[in-house]
Amino acid sequence: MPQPIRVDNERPATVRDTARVLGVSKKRTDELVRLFERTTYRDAKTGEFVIRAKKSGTIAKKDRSPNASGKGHKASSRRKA
Amino acid sequence: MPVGRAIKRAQGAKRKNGPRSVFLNIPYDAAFQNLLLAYIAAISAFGFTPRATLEIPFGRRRLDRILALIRQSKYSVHDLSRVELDRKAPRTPRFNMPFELGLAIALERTAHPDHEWVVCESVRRRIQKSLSDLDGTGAYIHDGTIKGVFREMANAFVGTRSQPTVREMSRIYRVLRTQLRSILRRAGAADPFSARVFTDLCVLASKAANELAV
Repeated sequence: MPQPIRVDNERPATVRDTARVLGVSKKRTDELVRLFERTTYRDAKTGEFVIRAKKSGTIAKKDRSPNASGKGHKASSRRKA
Repeated sequence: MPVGRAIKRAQGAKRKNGPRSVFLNIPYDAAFQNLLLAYIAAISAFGFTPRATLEIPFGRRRLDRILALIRQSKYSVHDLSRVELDRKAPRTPRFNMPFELGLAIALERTAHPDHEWVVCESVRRRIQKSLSDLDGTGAYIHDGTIKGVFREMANAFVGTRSQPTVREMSRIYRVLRTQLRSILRRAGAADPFSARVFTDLCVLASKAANELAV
């Protein structure tokens, strides 16, 4: 087993630090923060973020094709096989 | 441009990001998609920003920019698990990962002595055959699994402030996995091996790490 490296993480990178280093715009960063907030919620009792459970067996409305021919059928037939 | 001159030019590059960036040297193929997310989650859990050559467009100055990227990163992680021939003709192994490891070692031995690097593999003892020049340097064996990547990153790095747990890394990974489709759709990409998707994933992972770990 190789020797571990002692790493300096006294000041963890904030989301703004990361965005600046990688050249991500403020607008896009805000959108990604909103994506995170959509994926999680804050537990009222503990105050901690909890990841939302994934809904299964449903097709999101936005994922359906405009003529209402559900692409989801293909996925369900693949599951049966 | 000769590598020696490129290294000298990299010496001049400012380390704007200081100790908070980790250069990630991994294969870019569909089979590696989940492990890419796992590496981003693990590096972000330590409070670091992942950097990769995915950020760099192909062109004449690519080698210079790869060197600058390594120079800007305090640490680097080199995954040498993809040593097989690919399926496309003409069938070849991937040389980019060992080449970039060589660049990182050259920088560490010359211009950038405080740079530290780790090597990962998926198969025990294979690296002794595939890259015997590294004899005496242990590799972290992740078994090609997401949990293995978390375990080995937690073994490879010991944080001075905090040590993220495998559970915390898993939680960040779940956020990335949940939102990957949405990020891909927005970028019009089929896989995460593009600059836009990679940087979006890193920003999302950073937010998740701030809230779920560190």
